Amino acid sequence: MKTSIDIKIFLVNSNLFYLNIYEQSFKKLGYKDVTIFLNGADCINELTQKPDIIFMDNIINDMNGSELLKEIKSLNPNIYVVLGIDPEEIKTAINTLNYGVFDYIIKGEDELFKAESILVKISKLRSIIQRKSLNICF
Amino acid sequence: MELNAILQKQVTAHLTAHQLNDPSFKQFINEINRSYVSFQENKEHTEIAFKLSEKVLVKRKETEKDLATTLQLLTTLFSNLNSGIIAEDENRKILFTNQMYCDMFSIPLAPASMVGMDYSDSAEQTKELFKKPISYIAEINKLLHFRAPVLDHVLEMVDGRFFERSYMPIYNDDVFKGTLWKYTDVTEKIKTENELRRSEENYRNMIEHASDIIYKTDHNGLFRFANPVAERITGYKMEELHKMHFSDLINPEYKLRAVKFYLQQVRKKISSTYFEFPIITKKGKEVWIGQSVQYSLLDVNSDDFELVALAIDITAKKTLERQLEASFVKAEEASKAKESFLANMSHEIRTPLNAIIGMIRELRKDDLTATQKAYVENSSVASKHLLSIINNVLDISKIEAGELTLDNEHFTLDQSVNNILSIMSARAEEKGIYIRSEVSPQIHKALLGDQLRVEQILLNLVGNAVKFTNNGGVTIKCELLKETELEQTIQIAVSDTGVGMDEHYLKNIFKKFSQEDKSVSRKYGGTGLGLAITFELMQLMHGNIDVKSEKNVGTTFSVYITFKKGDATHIKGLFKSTEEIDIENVRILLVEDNEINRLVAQNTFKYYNCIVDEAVNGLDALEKVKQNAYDIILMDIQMPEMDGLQATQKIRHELKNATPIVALTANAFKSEIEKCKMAGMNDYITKPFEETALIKLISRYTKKKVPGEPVNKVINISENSLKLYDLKPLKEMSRGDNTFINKMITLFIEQTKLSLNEINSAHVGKDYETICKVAHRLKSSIDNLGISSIKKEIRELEKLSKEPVLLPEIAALILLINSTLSKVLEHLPSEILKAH
Repeated sequence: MKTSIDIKIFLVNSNLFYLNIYEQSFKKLGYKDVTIFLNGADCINELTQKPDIIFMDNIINDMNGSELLKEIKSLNPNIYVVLGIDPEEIKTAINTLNYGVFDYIIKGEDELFKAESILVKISKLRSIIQRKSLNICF
Repeated sequence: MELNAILQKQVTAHLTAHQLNDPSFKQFINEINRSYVSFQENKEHTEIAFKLSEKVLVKRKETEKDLATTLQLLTTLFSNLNSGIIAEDENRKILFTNQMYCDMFSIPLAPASMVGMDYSDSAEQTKELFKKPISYIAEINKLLHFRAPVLDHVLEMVDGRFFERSYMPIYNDDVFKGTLWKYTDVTEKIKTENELRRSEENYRNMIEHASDIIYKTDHNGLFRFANPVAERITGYKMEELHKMHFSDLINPEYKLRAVKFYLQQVRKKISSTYFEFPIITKKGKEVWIGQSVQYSLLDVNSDDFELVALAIDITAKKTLERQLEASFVKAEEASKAKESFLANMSHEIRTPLNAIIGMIRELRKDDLTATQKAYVENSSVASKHLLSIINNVLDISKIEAGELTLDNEHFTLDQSVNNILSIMSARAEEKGIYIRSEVSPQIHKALLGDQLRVEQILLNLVGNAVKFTNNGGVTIKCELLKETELEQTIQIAVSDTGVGMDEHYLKNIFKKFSQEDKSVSRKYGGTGLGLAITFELMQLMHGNIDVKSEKNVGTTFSVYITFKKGDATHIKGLFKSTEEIDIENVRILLVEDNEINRLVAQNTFKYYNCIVDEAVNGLDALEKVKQNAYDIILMDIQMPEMDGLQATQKIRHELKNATPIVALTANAFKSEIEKCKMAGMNDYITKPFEETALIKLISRYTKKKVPGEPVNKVINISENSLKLYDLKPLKEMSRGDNTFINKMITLFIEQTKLSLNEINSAHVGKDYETICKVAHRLKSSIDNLGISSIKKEIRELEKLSKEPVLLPEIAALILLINSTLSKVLEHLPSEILKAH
């Protein structure tokens, strides 16, 4: 069983500065396995690494968020995808929930806290699922 | 003989009464008697015979017992059977029947008591119970004649019941021994069957005659069933459809989307979906279809499924939608047109009005006769009134367009009230009424808010009060209602002793264009917009307004606003009344393309003994600035050849000239003013300008003797009040890791330089999509580095460049963002050094 520390995280955003901020803050929380991508195509190519969670921006250099999302979900529907959106894009967010976004982060001052709470939520969820699948085995 | 008697006795003792009467037993006993005679000589043999007979009897008795048990069993079984049973022997005597049989045929006898009765007349007796009595009798006779089993024959009863009859002849060694009849009530079963058949038929009918398309596909998406409507709408026959995949019908443009959609449904086993797409019929016509598709498993144990679709022709709806969309776009365009019309009108009207007001002002300075003076005075009042109307219309349209945003500056309420008093006192004096104010000393010296708008509200209320009051006067009263550590809620009440209003009118008072009655506007003038604007402004300030009024007694308007407490040290009288005006010999460059406006300004400046030079456009101005030195430049914005913004930029950047530049703008929109400041102008004044305001402004920027008065005040304020950037969040995140901070700063510098280049070249190439993307990207960097002065602007840029209509605004925003970020980029490297 993977512990929360072993969780593999992908970060996709066109802004390298922003990516570094996220990376730093995740590493601070103990998530060491963080990979950053500046565009969607690179992220898709690396999906073979089997990330557990992908944090992605709604607008990326080479494609828009929903395209990337659909691509990720069609290649591996088990990845938890978390979408970063602007406050005025809430409508989009609700739409993307239909495409299998696990959760979204409304950008703003407290977004890193929100990201942290989502990570906690996902680890909890994973441990529940893990337990369930163990139950089935025995 | 003795033995014979004993034997007789022995045998009868073992026999039942029934057996004793049985002729076969009698025969058996006689036989024994006879044999006894032949054996009587031999005693030994007799005894053997006796013993033998006894054995036979015991065995027989056991068999009898078994038979009885079996019979008992059968009887119980038959009695409890859910069918009516009756058995008859070869002579049609009843052998057995059960209660159910009696019940079914309403026979009032106990089943046991019927045993032995004659059954031959039963058909005749019961025929009336059957719906077809004659054929019933005939069938019975036929059955009895052929003596072959006929099972489960259904008979309809008169009372609506249905009986299922089985005829079973009994043979023993090919000898007919009787009959077993079995009747079962199958009414429920028949009814259910009939209903099922009927509903099946109904459904078939519905599907066949439905007005919607109904079809099924198998798991591969191949058509398996389609109703006639499907044939009619698609134009394909059932046989043709059977060879087709559902996607073959879909318009190629939408095919991929639809197939993906349904693959998703199948993969996720979504039970029901709805999707809209156009199909192409056999004749090549496009028909829009809205279909709901049910995913149904064929078998619980396997994964095999089919898709059942119900589809309707939504072509009409789609057409309507498109039309609606088109008309929506048109409405949007119309609303935008209205907006730009208003903005243009503002410019077009203000410019000549500027000339009129200016000319009248000049005329008043001349020696006039009393009549002429009166005419000029009236013209002046009328033109000022016209100006106020235009201002009101502009305000309302700005509010409606959501363009009006409030400033948040430090101001003193006391000062604002005094400003209003000084403006209105002349009018009150004219009318012979008093005007006074009471401002509670509890009110904080400095409040945070939009001073101009607060004064506008006051001016509206006080202006109305003065207008409608002929005796008595007007009182402005400011009181503290509530106070917290950070905020103060203040009530400002404007009371008059004027004409008052009817109660029913009070309801409509804040609506646009309403005055108590039409005659009021003729008598008192006004557009009826003042209170509507006041109301809207109150909404913007999250305040409340209420009004109490009594006809011929007076009216009190009260506004309730919550202000944040400000800092008194920030308050600097921008237009101090004590300011000494001395602009003699000030060298002014007036850049203005409108000749009349130039004339107006010239007159004013001559009056104050200024040295004025003129330029008719930006290029002209550049030449003049190169050749001569000026103390101040008054710059129009909209000009041919080169506009004021460009000219200012060139003066600042190419000529490196720091002469104060004041914008003369007819456009009072905030974005315009921002643009002016961005271009490097020091201040602005809106046309038509009040002469004194312009003179004061010039005086302020040219009084170099007064120390501490910064020349480029506007820029300084923004720099002081807002920190350029904030590294605190980054530092917190780093936990003292300086390399991280340095890395981030370096990264920010590199990335931002790239982004700025990208945005600028995209702007040159009119590639608004890229601008939008880069703005989006820059946004998070700006947020994270706490560059709060352009947080709003970068978002605005992203929003505007999505639909690039307001191109000048976009250009202005890019300019502002460029200059701010350049400043940040200038300062940031020093932070790296600090960190080391």
